[in-house]
Amino acid sequence: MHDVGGDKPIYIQIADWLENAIIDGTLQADEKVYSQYQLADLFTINPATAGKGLTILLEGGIVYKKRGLGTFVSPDAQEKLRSKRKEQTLRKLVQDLLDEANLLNIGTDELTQMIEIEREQRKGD
Amino acid sequence: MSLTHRTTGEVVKQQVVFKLRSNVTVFTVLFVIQAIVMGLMIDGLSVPVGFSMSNIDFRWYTFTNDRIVIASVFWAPVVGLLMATPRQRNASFMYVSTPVTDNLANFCFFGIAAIIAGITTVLSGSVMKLVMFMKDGNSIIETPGLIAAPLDFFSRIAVMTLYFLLVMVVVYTCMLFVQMNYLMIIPFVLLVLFSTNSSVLEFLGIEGNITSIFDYFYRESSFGLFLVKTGAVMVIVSAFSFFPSARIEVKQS
Amino acid sequence: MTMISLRKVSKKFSRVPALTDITFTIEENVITGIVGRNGAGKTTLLKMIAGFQKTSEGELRVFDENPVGSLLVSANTIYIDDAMSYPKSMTLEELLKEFSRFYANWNEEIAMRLVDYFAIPLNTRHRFLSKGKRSTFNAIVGIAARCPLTIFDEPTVGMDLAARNDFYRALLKDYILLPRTILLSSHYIDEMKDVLEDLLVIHRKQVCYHGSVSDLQEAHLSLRGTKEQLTKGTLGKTAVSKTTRGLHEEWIMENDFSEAERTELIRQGITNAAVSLNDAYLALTEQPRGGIDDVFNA
Repeated sequence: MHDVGGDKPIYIQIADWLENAIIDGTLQADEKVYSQYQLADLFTINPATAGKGLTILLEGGIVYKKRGLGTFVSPDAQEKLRSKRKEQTLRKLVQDLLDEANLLNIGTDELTQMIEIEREQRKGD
Repeated sequence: MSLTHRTTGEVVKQQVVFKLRSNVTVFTVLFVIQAIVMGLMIDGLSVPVGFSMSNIDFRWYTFTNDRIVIASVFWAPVVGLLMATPRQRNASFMYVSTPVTDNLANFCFFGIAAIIAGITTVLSGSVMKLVMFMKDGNSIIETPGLIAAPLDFFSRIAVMTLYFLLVMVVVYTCMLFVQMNYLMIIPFVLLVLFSTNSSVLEFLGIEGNITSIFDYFYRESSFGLFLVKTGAVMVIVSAFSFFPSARIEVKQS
Repeated sequence: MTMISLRKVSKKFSRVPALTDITFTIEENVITGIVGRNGAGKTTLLKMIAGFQKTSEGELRVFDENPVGSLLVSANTIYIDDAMSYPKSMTLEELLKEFSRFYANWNEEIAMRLVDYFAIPLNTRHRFLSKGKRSTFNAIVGIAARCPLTIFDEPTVGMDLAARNDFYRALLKDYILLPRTILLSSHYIDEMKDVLEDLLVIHRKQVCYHGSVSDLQEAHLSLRGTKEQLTKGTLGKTAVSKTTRGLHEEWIMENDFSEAERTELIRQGITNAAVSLNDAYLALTEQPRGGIDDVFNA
């Protein structure tokens, strides 16, 4: 797999990939999720590894199982993932941002300003 | 996935077909040798013997297929040796095989090879007669052939076949023992030495020489007894071969 | 269902030990990677499982039978390595025909499609192929035989990168169609790690890890910082390998750090990250990257 995550175990990369698909709306609520075999084929990975990735989402309540039909996106999956990502990933990034800012001796005002400029530029694209 | 169950007979049959297909050269070599020897004999070796008496000219040729028999007798141990090589065993085990099926398949291969060699060797005599007849229109053929004495003709094929088979099986089994343990070369070399060297035999106070061993088979005039003798030796020797064949490991490189 | 089980198995070649005290079991339909340094005993292990060689001690069972002399094991096992004993007289086409006669599950269609895809000329003999093509042909045989126990010993030797990737993808696709027990050995853990479920690491003639690929990865943690920071931060923990990277050092640790401990490390200025499978494997088999430096620094 040449996706994000680098050294992370593959099953976590699979879980991340599915989470991203749910957050950006590629996979809607109550929509059927790829089976472990489809994921295995898609990413050339062992089906057991793909299954492990799905299990993470299952345990987190992000997806649910319908017996004999497959796995589906939970109705509140997107909301759950948003807040989880905000609490974990985004906070971590903010921490890193502050680490770097502290190292360079950049204050909060300047930091906010940089974020504003970046946002404006992206709107223009 | 459910497991496939195979019987020994099935696998042996498949292995024999595989061995025949992958060793066609063995038979090509036999035919080429026989053809060459035959060619040499017809062309150069049958010098006419004869005399003249007043105005009658007597002239006769003698020719036999002895040399073809000798050439084929050299071919047989090579076949026995070949089938005992690790290369052959590794090839069999690349497909479905066990030491037992491989051994049985080798014996079947020897059987087929010996029959083919037996038939061609005996037939080579007939071919030579035919060639001589065509070369020298008014020949009278002495030895009875298939038409004159079919029983004799077939018994000659059977005898030749058994000889070849015996040689193959003995050489093959010896080779397996040697592969199992290289020290096994010693008794075999001693055996050959004792049986070929009359001075060694004399030294040990044994009368006779190599011929005494071959005479045991060769001088047997009763076909039935010959069959029993060679058959018994073959069965014993081939039974022994299962011992080393079960102990030699495959793909030892 | 257990396909392969070894209990205290040892192998000696004229008194020289090749494997000692090997115990593990492999379940049905698991793809297991077998890795180890040169001479670790991978090939010997695989040959014993295939029934080609005998154990010196211990008990080895395949399909609940002793594989040596077992027709059941031979009929349901295919062993592919880079020293296949093809008869010299036979063309590739004839060889494939023989495989189809012997192996009950042989899939002619897959075989032919793969032969076409990899542009293998069937009318030639195996020894006339290039090294990479030879391995590719062997690999095709291994896939198309569809044996309940499929053993590949160093299948990708000589293959170029594209062929390697294609081989692993083909193997995985066929496995998804018809799951089977597969043993794969390679020096290069990276090229095959994605298709594996389990990993069996052999080191110094013994099994030093057998478990899932991700567990091995997660059992280690990579820390980066200055030597002083790391020495202080990892007090009481076990470092598996230490490497100097510029002004910083990277230590691969046994991962028994709690979430709180990891936060504390970050607070101390030590970055921590997941370890790649390859690094975890190298650490486990005492192959510290940079270890070769010591040879020149001595």
